[in-house]
Amino acid sequence: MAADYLKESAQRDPIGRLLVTVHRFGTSGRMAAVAKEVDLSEREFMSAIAEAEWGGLLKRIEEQGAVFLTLTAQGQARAEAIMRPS
Amino acid sequence: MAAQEDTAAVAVVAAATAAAATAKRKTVTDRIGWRGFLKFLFVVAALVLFGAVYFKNFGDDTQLKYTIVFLIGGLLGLTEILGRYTDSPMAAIKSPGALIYVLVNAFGSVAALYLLAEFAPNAVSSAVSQVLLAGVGAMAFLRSSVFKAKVGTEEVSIGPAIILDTLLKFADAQVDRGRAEDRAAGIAEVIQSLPLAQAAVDLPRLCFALMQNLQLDVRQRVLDDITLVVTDTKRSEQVKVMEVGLVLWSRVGIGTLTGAITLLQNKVAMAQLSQQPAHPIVPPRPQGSPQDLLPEIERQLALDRQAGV
Repeated sequence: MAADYLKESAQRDPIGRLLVTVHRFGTSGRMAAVAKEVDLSEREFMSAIAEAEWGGLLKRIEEQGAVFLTLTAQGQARAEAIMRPS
Repeated sequence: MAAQEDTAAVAVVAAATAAAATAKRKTVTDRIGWRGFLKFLFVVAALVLFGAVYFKNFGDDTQLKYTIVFLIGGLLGLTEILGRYTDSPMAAIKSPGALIYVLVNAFGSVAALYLLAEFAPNAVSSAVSQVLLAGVGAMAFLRSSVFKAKVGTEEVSIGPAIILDTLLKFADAQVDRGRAEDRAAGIAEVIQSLPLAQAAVDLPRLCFALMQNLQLDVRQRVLDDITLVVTDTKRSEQVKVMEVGLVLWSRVGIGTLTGAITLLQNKVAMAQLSQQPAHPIVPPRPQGSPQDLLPEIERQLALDRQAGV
Protein backbone atom coordinates (compact mmCIF):
# COMPACT_ATOMS: atom_id res chain seq x y z
CA MET A 1 0.00 0.00 0.00
CA ALA A 2 0.99 3.61 -0.56
CA ALA A 3 1.79 4.33 3.07
CA ASP A 4 4.48 1.60 3.16
CA TYR A 5 6.88 4.19 1.78
CA LEU A 6 6.91 5.84 5.22
CA LYS A 7 8.40 2.77 6.87
CA GLU A 8 10.72 2.02 3.97
CA SER A 9 12.16 5.54 3.85
CA ALA A 10 12.45 5.68 7.66
CA GLN A 11 14.37 2.37 7.61
CA ARG A 12 16.82 3.67 5.01
CA ASP A 13 17.23 7.07 6.64
CA PRO A 14 20.47 7.49 8.72
CA ILE A 15 18.42 8.71 11.70
CA GLY A 16 16.19 5.63 11.47
CA ARG A 17 19.22 3.34 11.34
CA LEU A 18 20.77 5.12 14.30
CA LEU A 19 17.59 4.95 16.39
CA VAL A 20 17.11 1.24 15.69
CA THR A 21 20.72 0.50 16.68
CA VAL A 22 20.44 2.56 19.87
CA HIS A 23 17.15 0.79 20.66
CA ARG A 24 18.89 -2.60 20.32
CA PHE A 25 21.56 -1.53 22.83
CA GLY A 26 18.89 -0.60 25.37
CA THR A 27 20.00 1.61 28.24
CA SER A 28 23.69 0.78 27.89
CA GLY A 29 24.23 2.26 24.45
CA ARG A 30 27.74 3.65 24.54
CA MET A 31 28.35 6.14 21.73
CA ALA A 32 31.49 4.39 20.46
CA ALA A 33 29.76 0.99 20.51
CA VAL A 34 26.80 2.34 18.55
CA ALA A 35 29.19 3.98 16.05
CA LYS A 36 30.86 0.59 15.55
CA GLU A 37 27.59 -1.26 15.13
CA VAL A 38 25.56 1.12 12.95
CA ASP A 39 26.11 0.95 9.21
CA LEU A 40 27.02 4.62 8.74
CA SER A 41 30.19 6.57 8.06
CA GLU A 42 31.53 8.60 10.99
CA ARG A 43 30.34 11.86 9.43
CA GLU A 44 26.83 10.44 8.78
CA PHE A 45 26.75 9.01 12.31
CA MET A 46 27.53 12.34 13.94
CA SER A 47 25.11 14.22 11.69
CA ALA A 48 22.40 11.66 12.48
CA ILE A 49 22.99 12.13 16.24
CA ALA A 50 22.83 15.91 15.85
CA GLU A 51 19.65 15.78 13.77
CA ALA A 52 17.96 13.25 16.07
CA GLU A 53 18.87 15.19 19.18
CA TRP A 54 17.70 18.45 17.62
CA GLY A 55 14.40 16.76 16.74
CA GLY A 56 13.94 15.54 20.31
CA LEU A 57 14.46 11.83 19.54
CA LEU A 58 17.78 11.17 21.27
CA LYS A 59 19.84 12.34 24.23
CA ARG A 60 23.56 12.18 24.95
CA ILE A 61 24.47 11.52 28.56
CA GLU A 62 28.08 11.93 29.67
CA GLU A 63 28.90 9.94 32.80
CA GLN A 64 32.34 9.26 34.29
CA GLY A 65 34.20 9.66 31.01
CA ALA A 66 31.77 7.56 29.02
CA VAL A 67 29.04 8.85 26.71
CA PHE A 68 25.70 7.08 26.45
CA LEU A 69 23.00 7.49 23.83
CA THR A 70 19.44 7.24 25.12
CA LEU A 71 16.21 7.42 23.20
CA THR A 72 13.53 9.85 24.29
CA ALA A 73 9.90 8.69 24.34
CA GLN A 74 9.45 10.01 20.78
CA GLY A 75 12.66 8.33 19.62
CA GLN A 76 11.61 5.06 21.22
CA ALA A 77 8.21 5.25 19.49
CA ARG A 78 9.84 5.97 16.12
CA ALA A 79 12.34 3.11 16.51
CA GLU A 80 9.56 0.68 17.45
CA ALA A 81 7.40 1.84 14.53
CA ILE A 82 10.32 1.21 12.17
CA MET A 83 11.11 -2.21 13.65
CA ARG A 84 7.55 -3.54 13.86
CA PRO A 85 6.96 -6.00 11.00
CA SER A 86 4.30 -4.75 8.60
CA MET B 1 -10.12 42.65 30.01
CA ALA B 2 -9.42 43.63 26.39
CA ALA B 3 -7.27 40.52 25.97
CA GLN B 4 -10.12 38.32 27.27
CA GLU B 5 -12.52 39.90 24.79
CA ASP B 6 -10.02 39.28 21.98
CA THR B 7 -9.68 35.61 22.98
CA ALA B 8 -13.45 35.21 23.11
CA ALA B 9 -13.79 36.86 19.69
CA VAL B 10 -11.13 34.53 18.24
CA ALA B 11 -12.93 31.53 19.74
CA VAL B 12 -16.27 32.65 18.31
CA VAL B 13 -14.70 33.14 14.87
CA ALA B 14 -13.08 29.70 15.15
CA ALA B 15 -16.43 28.16 16.12
CA ALA B 16 -18.16 29.92 13.20
CA THR B 17 -15.43 28.75 10.80
CA ALA B 18 -15.78 25.19 12.10
CA ALA B 19 -19.58 25.36 11.66
CA ALA B 20 -19.22 26.72 8.13
CA ALA B 21 -16.68 24.03 7.33
CA THR B 22 -19.07 21.41 8.73
CA ALA B 23 -21.86 22.60 6.46
CA LYS B 24 -19.49 22.63 3.48
CA ARG B 25 -18.00 19.21 4.22
CA LYS B 26 -21.28 17.35 4.53
CA THR B 27 -21.07 16.52 0.83
CA VAL B 28 -17.60 14.91 1.10
CA THR B 29 -18.16 11.18 1.24
CA ASP B 30 -17.18 8.03 -0.62
CA ARG B 31 -20.08 5.93 0.58
CA ILE B 32 -22.27 4.29 -2.08
CA GLY B 33 -25.71 5.85 -1.81
CA TRP B 34 -28.96 4.03 -2.62
CA ARG B 35 -29.49 6.25 -5.66
CA GLY B 36 -26.11 5.40 -7.16
CA PHE B 37 -26.48 1.73 -6.31
CA LEU B 38 -29.93 1.50 -7.94
CA LYS B 39 -28.61 3.34 -11.00
CA PHE B 40 -25.73 0.83 -11.20
CA LEU B 41 -28.16 -2.11 -10.84
CA PHE B 42 -30.35 -0.67 -13.58
CA VAL B 43 -27.42 -0.30 -15.97
CA VAL B 44 -26.20 -3.85 -15.25
CA ALA B 45 -29.72 -5.28 -15.69
CA ALA B 46 -30.13 -3.39 -18.99
CA LEU B 47 -26.78 -4.67 -20.26
CA VAL B 48 -27.57 -8.27 -19.24
CA LEU B 49 -30.97 -8.03 -20.91
CA PHE B 50 -29.46 -6.58 -24.07
CA GLY B 51 -26.78 -9.29 -24.09
CA ALA B 52 -29.33 -12.06 -23.54
CA VAL B 53 -31.55 -10.81 -26.38
CA TYR B 54 -28.57 -10.35 -28.71
CA PHE B 55 -27.06 -13.78 -28.10
CA LYS B 56 -30.43 -15.52 -28.35
CA ASN B 57 -31.16 -14.02 -31.77
CA PHE B 58 -27.84 -13.24 -33.46
CA GLY B 59 -24.92 -14.53 -31.39
CA ASP B 60 -23.08 -17.84 -31.53
CA ASP B 61 -21.16 -19.86 -28.95
CA THR B 62 -17.78 -18.39 -29.88
CA GLN B 63 -18.97 -14.82 -29.45
CA LEU B 64 -20.56 -15.74 -26.13
CA LYS B 65 -17.31 -17.36 -24.94
CA TYR B 66 -15.25 -14.28 -25.86
CA THR B 67 -17.77 -11.97 -24.19
CA ILE B 68 -17.75 -13.96 -20.95
CA VAL B 69 -13.95 -14.15 -20.95
CA PHE B 70 -13.80 -10.40 -21.55
CA LEU B 71 -16.11 -9.83 -18.58
CA ILE B 72 -14.16 -12.18 -16.28
CA GLY B 73 -10.86 -10.50 -17.19
CA GLY B 74 -12.36 -7.05 -16.67
CA LEU B 75 -13.84 -8.09 -13.34
CA LEU B 76 -10.43 -9.32 -12.17
CA GLY B 77 -8.91 -5.95 -13.07
CA LEU B 78 -11.74 -4.17 -11.30
CA THR B 79 -11.27 -6.14 -8.08
CA GLU B 80 -7.55 -5.41 -8.20
CA ILE B 81 -8.26 -1.67 -8.37
CA LEU B 82 -10.78 -1.98 -5.51
CA GLY B 83 -8.21 -3.70 -3.30
CA ARG B 84 -5.36 -1.39 -4.17
CA TYR B 85 -6.95 2.03 -3.62
CA THR B 86 -8.49 1.66 -0.19
CA ASP B 87 -8.79 5.43 0.39
CA SER B 88 -11.68 5.74 -2.04
CA PRO B 89 -12.26 2.68 -4.21
CA MET B 90 -15.28 4.24 -5.93
CA ALA B 91 -13.33 7.32 -7.00
CA ALA B 92 -10.50 5.09 -8.23
CA ILE B 93 -12.90 2.99 -10.32
CA LYS B 94 -14.38 6.09 -11.96
CA SER B 95 -10.99 7.36 -13.18
CA PRO B 96 -9.90 6.92 -16.84
CA GLY B 97 -6.78 5.06 -15.69
CA ALA B 98 -8.99 2.41 -14.07
CA LEU B 99 -10.83 1.93 -17.35
CA ILE B 100 -7.49 1.39 -19.11
CA TYR B 101 -6.47 -1.09 -16.39
CA VAL B 102 -9.75 -2.99 -16.68
CA LEU B 103 -9.57 -3.03 -20.49
CA VAL B 104 -5.95 -4.28 -20.48
CA ASN B 105 -6.99 -7.11 -18.16
CA ALA B 106 -10.10 -7.87 -20.23
CA PHE B 107 -8.24 -7.93 -23.56
CA GLY B 108 -5.49 -9.99 -21.92
CA SER B 109 -8.09 -12.64 -21.13
CA VAL B 110 -9.50 -12.45 -24.66
CA ALA B 111 -6.00 -12.85 -26.10
CA ALA B 112 -5.46 -15.89 -23.84
CA LEU B 113 -8.66 -17.50 -25.14
CA TYR B 114 -7.64 -16.77 -28.73
CA LEU B 115 -4.20 -18.35 -28.18
CA LEU B 116 -5.81 -21.33 -26.47
CA ALA B 117 -8.21 -21.84 -29.37
CA GLU B 118 -5.51 -21.37 -32.03
CA PHE B 119 -2.59 -23.35 -30.62
CA ALA B 120 -4.20 -25.94 -28.35
CA PRO B 121 -7.78 -26.39 -29.53
CA ASN B 122 -8.00 -29.93 -28.14
CA ALA B 123 -6.21 -29.29 -24.84
CA VAL B 124 -9.41 -28.21 -23.12
CA SER B 125 -12.53 -29.57 -24.73
CA SER B 126 -15.26 -28.15 -22.52
CA ALA B 127 -16.38 -24.59 -23.38
CA VAL B 128 -16.86 -23.73 -19.70
CA SER B 129 -13.32 -24.88 -18.84
CA GLN B 130 -11.91 -22.90 -21.77
CA VAL B 131 -13.67 -19.76 -20.58
CA LEU B 132 -12.51 -20.22 -16.99
CA LEU B 133 -8.97 -21.11 -18.00
CA ALA B 134 -8.65 -18.10 -20.31
CA GLY B 135 -10.52 -15.73 -18.00
CA VAL B 136 -8.75 -16.55 -14.76
CA GLY B 137 -5.52 -18.04 -16.09
CA ALA B 138 -4.79 -15.29 -18.61
CA MET B 139 -3.19 -13.03 -16.08
CA ALA B 140 -0.91 -15.83 -14.91
CA PHE B 141 0.07 -16.76 -18.48
CA LEU B 142 0.52 -13.21 -19.70
CA ARG B 143 2.59 -12.40 -16.64
CA SER B 144 4.94 -15.33 -17.19
CA SER B 145 8.48 -14.85 -18.46
CA VAL B 146 10.94 -17.09 -20.30
CA PHE B 147 13.90 -15.62 -18.41
CA LYS B 148 14.88 -12.51 -16.48
CA ALA B 149 17.55 -10.11 -17.73
CA LYS B 150 19.39 -7.77 -15.43
CA VAL B 151 19.28 -4.18 -16.69
CA GLY B 152 21.28 -2.00 -14.31
CA THR B 153 20.09 -2.98 -10.86
CA GLU B 154 16.62 -4.02 -12.02
CA GLU B 155 15.51 -7.46 -13.17
CA VAL B 156 13.44 -7.29 -16.35
CA SER B 157 11.15 -10.17 -17.34
CA ILE B 158 11.58 -11.29 -20.94
CA GLY B 159 8.44 -12.93 -22.29
CA PRO B 160 4.74 -12.12 -22.51
CA ALA B 161 5.03 -10.47 -19.10
CA ILE B 162 7.01 -7.52 -20.44
CA ILE B 163 4.07 -6.24 -22.53
CA LEU B 164 1.34 -6.76 -19.97
CA ASP B 165 3.45 -5.53 -17.05
CA THR B 166 4.27 -2.32 -18.89
CA LEU B 167 0.63 -1.71 -19.84
CA LEU B 168 -0.59 -2.49 -16.32
CA LYS B 169 2.07 -0.27 -14.75
CA PHE B 170 1.03 2.56 -17.07
CA ALA B 171 -2.66 2.15 -16.23
CA ASP B 172 -1.91 1.79 -12.51
CA ALA B 173 0.19 4.96 -12.58
CA GLN B 174 -2.69 6.78 -14.30
CA VAL B 175 -5.11 5.75 -11.53
CA ASP B 176 -2.55 6.62 -8.85
CA ARG B 177 -1.92 10.08 -10.32
CA GLY B 178 -5.63 10.72 -10.60
CA ARG B 179 -6.13 9.78 -6.96
CA ALA B 180 -3.14 11.93 -5.97
CA GLU B 181 -4.70 14.97 -7.68
CA ASP B 182 -8.03 14.38 -5.92
CA ARG B 183 -6.34 13.86 -2.56
CA ALA B 184 -4.15 16.94 -2.98
CA ALA B 185 -7.24 19.01 -3.74
CA GLY B 186 -9.21 17.53 -0.86
CA ILE B 187 -6.81 17.15 2.05
CA ALA B 188 -6.05 20.83 2.67
CA GLU B 189 -9.77 21.62 2.74
CA VAL B 190 -10.65 18.65 4.92
CA ILE B 191 -7.89 18.96 7.48
CA GLN B 192 -8.24 22.77 7.75
CA SER B 193 -6.00 24.26 10.44
CA LEU B 194 -6.09 21.38 12.89
CA PRO B 195 -3.19 21.55 15.40
CA LEU B 196 -0.66 18.70 15.16
CA ALA B 197 -1.44 17.48 18.67
CA GLN B 198 -5.10 16.96 17.74
CA ALA B 199 -4.32 15.55 14.30
CA ALA B 200 -1.81 12.99 15.59
CA VAL B 201 -3.44 11.90 18.85
CA ASP B 202 -7.17 12.66 18.95
CA LEU B 203 -7.97 12.28 15.25
CA PRO B 204 -6.83 8.64 14.85
CA ARG B 205 -8.54 7.68 18.12
CA LEU B 206 -11.77 9.29 17.00
CA CYS B 207 -11.57 7.63 13.57
CA PHE B 208 -10.98 4.23 15.20
CA ALA B 209 -13.90 4.82 17.55
CA LEU B 210 -16.16 5.77 14.62
CA MET B 211 -15.17 2.67 12.63
CA GLN B 212 -16.58 -0.48 14.19
CA ASN B 213 -14.71 -3.22 12.37
CA LEU B 214 -11.24 -1.87 11.74
CA GLN B 215 -8.81 -4.73 12.33
CA LEU B 216 -6.23 -4.48 15.09
CA ASP B 217 -3.25 -4.89 12.73
CA VAL B 218 -4.60 -2.12 10.48
CA ARG B 219 -4.95 0.18 13.49
CA GLN B 220 -1.38 -0.60 14.56
CA ARG B 221 -0.09 0.10 11.05
CA VAL B 222 -1.93 3.43 10.97
CA LEU B 223 -0.52 4.39 14.38
CA ASP B 224 2.99 3.39 13.25
CA ASP B 225 2.67 5.48 10.10
CA ILE B 226 1.43 8.45 12.11
CA THR B 227 4.33 8.03 14.58
CA LEU B 228 6.78 8.04 11.67
CA VAL B 229 5.25 11.22 10.27
CA VAL B 230 5.04 13.05 13.58
CA THR B 231 8.55 12.19 14.79
CA ASP B 232 10.21 13.05 11.49
CA THR B 233 12.79 15.77 12.04
CA LYS B 234 12.66 17.21 8.52
CA ARG B 235 8.94 17.74 7.91
CA SER B 236 7.26 21.01 8.83
CA GLU B 237 4.27 20.94 11.19
CA GLN B 238 1.75 21.80 8.44
CA VAL B 239 3.04 18.99 6.23
CA LYS B 240 2.86 16.57 9.17
CA VAL B 241 -0.80 17.46 9.79
CA MET B 242 -1.66 16.90 6.13
CA GLU B 243 0.26 13.62 5.98
CA VAL B 244 -1.52 12.36 9.10
CA GLY B 245 -4.78 13.20 7.33
CA LEU B 246 -3.67 11.32 4.20
CA VAL B 247 -2.65 8.24 6.22
CA LEU B 248 -6.08 8.19 7.88
CA TRP B 249 -7.89 8.89 4.61
CA SER B 250 -6.26 5.81 3.07
CA ARG B 251 -7.46 3.56 5.88
CA VAL B 252 -10.81 4.89 7.06
CA GLY B 253 -12.05 6.80 4.00
CA ILE B 254 -12.81 10.45 3.46
CA GLY B 255 -16.30 10.32 5.03
CA THR B 256 -15.06 9.06 8.40
CA LEU B 257 -12.10 11.42 8.36
CA THR B 258 -14.29 14.43 7.61
CA GLY B 259 -16.77 13.44 10.33
CA ALA B 260 -13.99 12.99 12.89
CA ILE B 261 -12.40 16.35 12.01
CA THR B 262 -15.77 18.08 12.31
CA LEU B 263 -16.26 16.61 15.78
CA LEU B 264 -12.73 17.50 16.73
CA GLN B 265 -12.94 21.06 15.45
CA ASN B 266 -16.05 21.65 17.50
CA LYS B 267 -14.04 20.33 20.43
CA VAL B 268 -11.09 22.57 19.50
CA ALA B 269 -13.40 25.58 19.34
CA MET B 270 -14.73 24.68 22.78
CA ALA B 271 -11.18 24.25 24.09
CA GLN B 272 -10.34 27.71 22.78
CA LEU B 273 -13.33 29.10 24.60
CA SER B 274 -12.15 27.50 27.85
CA GLN B 275 -8.53 28.46 27.01
CA GLN B 276 -7.13 24.94 27.18
CA PRO B 277 -4.22 24.71 24.74
CA ALA B 278 -3.45 21.35 23.12
CA HIS B 279 -0.42 19.61 24.61
CA PRO B 280 2.56 19.44 22.22
CA ILE B 281 3.43 15.84 21.36
CA VAL B 282 6.92 16.58 20.12
CA PRO B 283 9.16 18.94 22.05
CA PRO B 284 9.71 22.36 20.48
CA ARG B 285 12.90 22.55 18.42
CA PRO B 286 15.82 24.29 20.11
CA GLN B 287 17.41 27.45 18.74
CA GLY B 288 20.07 27.18 16.04
CA SER B 289 20.63 24.21 13.78
CA PRO B 290 21.72 20.56 14.24
CA GLN B 291 25.12 21.48 12.80
CA ASP B 292 25.84 23.48 15.96
CA LEU B 293 25.92 20.23 17.95
CA LEU B 294 28.58 18.55 15.75
CA PRO B 295 31.79 19.79 17.51
CA GLU B 296 30.49 18.60 20.89
CA ILE B 297 29.44 15.23 19.45
CA GLU B 298 32.86 14.80 17.80
CA ARG B 299 34.57 15.52 21.13
CA GLN B 300 32.35 13.07 22.99
CA LEU B 301 32.86 10.32 20.39
CA ALA B 302 36.63 10.67 20.74
CA LEU B 303 36.27 10.67 24.55
CA ASP B 304 34.10 7.55 24.54
CA ARG B 305 36.53 5.75 22.26
CA GLN B 306 39.40 6.61 24.59
CA ALA B 307 37.44 5.28 27.56
CA GLY B 308 37.10 1.98 25.68
CA VAL B 309 33.96 0.05 24.90
